[in-house]
Parts: sequence; structure tokens; C-alpha cells
Amino acid sequence: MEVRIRAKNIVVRYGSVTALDSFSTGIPRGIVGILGPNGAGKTTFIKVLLGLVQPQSGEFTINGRGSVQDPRDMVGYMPENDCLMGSMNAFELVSYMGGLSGMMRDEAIQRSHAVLDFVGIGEERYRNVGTYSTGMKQRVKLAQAIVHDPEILLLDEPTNGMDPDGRKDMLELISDIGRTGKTILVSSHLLHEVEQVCEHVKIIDGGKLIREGAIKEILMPEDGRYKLKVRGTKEGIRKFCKLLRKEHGILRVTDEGSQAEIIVKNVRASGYILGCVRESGVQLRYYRPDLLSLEDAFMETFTGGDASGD
Amino acid sequence: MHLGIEPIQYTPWDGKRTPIFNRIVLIADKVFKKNIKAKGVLALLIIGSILVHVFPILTTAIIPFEKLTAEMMVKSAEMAMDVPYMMNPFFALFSILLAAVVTSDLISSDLQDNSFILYFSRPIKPAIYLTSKLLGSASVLAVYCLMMPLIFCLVVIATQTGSDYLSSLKVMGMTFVAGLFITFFFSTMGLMMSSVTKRKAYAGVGTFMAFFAPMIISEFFAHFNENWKLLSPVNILHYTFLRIYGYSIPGSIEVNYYYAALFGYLILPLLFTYYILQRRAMGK
Repeated sequence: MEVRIRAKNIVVRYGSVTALDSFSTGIPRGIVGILGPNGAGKTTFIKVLLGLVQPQSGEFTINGRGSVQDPRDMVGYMPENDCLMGSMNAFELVSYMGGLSGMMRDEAIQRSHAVLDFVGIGEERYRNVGTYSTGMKQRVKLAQAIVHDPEILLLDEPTNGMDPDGRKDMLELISDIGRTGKTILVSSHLLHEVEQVCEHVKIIDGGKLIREGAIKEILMPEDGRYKLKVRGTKEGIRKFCKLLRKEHGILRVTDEGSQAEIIVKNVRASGYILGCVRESGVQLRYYRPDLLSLEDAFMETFTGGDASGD
Repeated sequence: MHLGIEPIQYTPWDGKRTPIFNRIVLIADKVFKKNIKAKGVLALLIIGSILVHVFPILTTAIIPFEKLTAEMMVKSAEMAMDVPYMMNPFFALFSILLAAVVTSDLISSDLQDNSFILYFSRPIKPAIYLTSKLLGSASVLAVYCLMMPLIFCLVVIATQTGSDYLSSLKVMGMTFVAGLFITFFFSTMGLMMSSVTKRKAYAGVGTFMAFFAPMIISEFFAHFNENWKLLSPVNILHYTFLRIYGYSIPGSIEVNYYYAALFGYLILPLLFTYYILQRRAMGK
């Protein structure tokens, strides 16, 4: 796994509050979600990467370049809060930001139109940003972050204040950018959104990394939980459940008349389950891992509880 | 359904990045273009130029001099006006007014919009940001404080009756330095005022008062001790002009106090602004 951002033992303190406590992680290529409760250190980590906060100790590299070599030309940042110059129109603002990121004037102009088209700002681009809705401002914030085609994109709450349609569009835009092989770090409170677009997740709390991994691994329950549906007579289904209990724990059975949905745990191989199906004479309709939602995984990480009600 | 129209995709860009100098120019250029189109700035430029520059230029064109001298710039009143060209009090007054208007929203608007973050998340350090804004405001002030005096010098040289052009050009060079000085002298205080408030109006009034109030205090206390004159920015300006044109400052003024006052008006505001920028933008 190619690591694009590497942080090692970063410590950031604001007075007596430790925002990042020997924080170390590696951010791979792809869309990576950074999750954590309020005050966990997500925004501080992003600000450290941007040089907006100086860590007391520790070091980081972005694409192999440390803070001394100033890697910010290859980084695009979409801040969480309002930051757009209200007296400029979207086109002026985005092309100005392109220029500040090192683009020649003509290129910045051309590219601004392209990214504003991409984020869905049409003729409104010639209107002052101060008159925009929150959703449009979010789009312009994304446009200014990608105008210089950065290799690393840091998005802080990208769907903040957007309506459901706008959120869906924003997530699609992020996925589109992600398909070009960039590293996109998304900090968000909205877990189902992170789940939709991210390939990797970092969960932090109290300035420490407490869980990380590919989203598929994170959503995979640790107790080998599977969901299956069988069809047959009541007697057959009852016999199937009895046989299952000998080897696996049954978490839940949903009786649907001639069929039942069963959630089992401690499944390490499928052979025994298929044997039970044969022996009890039921039909197996489906059999698949019972994935957690990211919210379940998140809660499990913080509380150690089982969100499925086990 | 796309009806045969392909959705707009993200396209990469593979151009070369410009050096940091270009970005300084970009910020300064934006400040210049924005201000030079502003009605208030244009009005001040026109009125100030008519009152201070146009009249001497016209009279010089009609009644030529033998050559351009340092004396006519800072010492004697030869041009149908009762003050030397660079010492005209309206020159300093309009420079202060222009500085107050031009610099008022340079940093305050970024504070208000919170757009600092857009600059500083790019390879724009506070020092670069400050330099760019200073150059931007100075470029507007230079139209009035540098360009007009140079035009005056050119007119004198073009119409001069004598043949000592070298000496005239030397004085023109001194005028260039003096013009640059006044340009930056008034910009730095304006930048500082703009960095301490989110309100453009407060910054503008603050800049004007930062120059005007010491002038009043200086006038009052100068009766007791001549060194109090150094509190007035206009006096510092005039003493500096004297030095640039090869004269010495009045003997009643302590030279070290003069340097301290110069530092206080020119460098201290810049250092303070830099400190504010570091605190606000870099979390220090």
C-alpha cells in the first residue's frame, strides 16, 4: 500500500489541552475518511499538514516532502468554515486561487471554468460569492481546492450545510476526483457519507489514532458474523437452527412464515452451514457476511458495544 | 439518462508551477487594480494631483528653470507657490488620506471573510502575504507620491534653459528615492491598522488618526522641546526629504531620536502586522 502522507509522533498542545498526542499514521492513495468525536484532533491534524499549526514535536511528509520543502503546492484544502471573499465572483475567486497556487494567468482562467463546470456552478459564476447559498459556497470551496489539480486533497466537512441533493452531488464529485488516483482525506461527522465514498478510515480520539483500516475490514464484524436466509417447512427451519446452534451462536432469527432470516456468529468456514442445510432439507436463499454500518463500527470502537443489539 | 451528453468529468492539469515571485505580483496586482478603479481613490488622486502636482507642472512649463535643483524641491519656494515642491503640506495630507483609503480593507477584508486560510493553505507565508499587500498599496500610492513628482522633474528637465542635464538627472534620482520613501512610509501604518480590525471604516479612520493625532500633539509640545517635532509624521517626512536631497536635518533635532521615530513609523507597524498575521493565521 503506497503511503502518500506519513505522520510520525506529532504532538500539538493548546495550553493544557493536547490536541494531537504522539499521533502517527500513514494515509494511502484513495479516499480516506478521518473520523472522531468533536475535539478528537481531526481538524488539527489537517492544519498541521497545511502548516497552519506548528506541532510541538513530530514530523510529517506529504509525497515524501517534509514541511521544510513546503509541499503545499501539491495540496488542495477545502475548509469547514466560511472563507470565501464575498466581494469577488466565483470565477475571479477560483482563478485568483489558481494563480496563488502557481498557475499562469491564462491557465488559471481556463482551468477555473473547467472546475466550475465540474462542480456544477454555471452562469452564477459571474455573481458575487457573497450572494450564494451555502450549497453553492461549498461547491466553490471545492473548486478553489482542486483548481491547481493537487495530488492531495484535504476536505473538512465537505457537505456541511448542504441539502440532501447537494450532499449526494458533493459525494459524487469526491468519488469522481478519487477515481483519478489522488489521495483525498475527508473529515466528516456524517458517517454514512464517509461510508459511501471512502476506501479507508482512520478513527481518532483524544488526539490518538485508535482504529484504522480499509473500510471493508472495518465494517466486517470481528466475531465472524454472517446473515443467511433459508426457506422450507417450519419443522425444517427449526431443525436447521438446532443444528446451527451446535457450532455457531445464533444472534437473531426473523421468522417470515415459510422462510427465516438468521444471523449467526463465529463462522470461520462455510462447510458446516452447508451441511446443516442439506441435513434439514431447507433451501438456502442467500448467505453473506453481515456487515456493520460505519456508525456501528464507530460506536463499537468507542463504547465496545454491539450496535446490532447483541 | 444523459441524452447523449457526457457528464463533465474531472480533468487533470499538468502545467508548470510559477515561482513564488509571480504570486507576490499577483496579489499586489489585485490590490492595485481593485483600488485604481475605486471611486474614492480616483477622486483623491485627481483632487490631490490638481492641488499639489498639476499647478507646479503647468507653471514650470510656462516659466522654465535653468535646471532641476534639490533646493527647489525641498528648500526654496520658487514655483509661484509659497512652499518647496516636496514640502507642500497638501502633498503629505493627500498621501495620508490616500493611504487611509487604500489600505483600509487590505487585511481587514480577509479578516472579515476569514479568507486568510485560503492564502495560508497555499505556499503563501505571512511574510509573503504582507510583502504582497504592501507592494499593492504602495503601487497605488506611487501614482500620486512617486509618479507625479517624477513627471514634474521630467517637465523641468525637458524645459530647462541650462545645459547641466546630469545634475538635473541626479536630482530626479533623489526625487525617485523620496517618492519611494513617502509611498512606503504611509502604507505601513495603514497595513497595521487594517490588521487589527475587521471593519474597513475603522481601519481607515484609525490610519488617518494615527498620523493626525501625533501631528497635533507634536505641535503643542514642540514649544517646550524641538524634539517633539519628531512625533509628527509630516516632520519626519520633511527631515527625511532633506537628507535624501543632501541637506542635514535642523540642529535642534537629536539625530538618534529621528532614527527612533523613523523606526517607529516605518518598521514597527510592519513588525506588529507580521506578529498579528502569525497569531491569526498560523495559530501562534
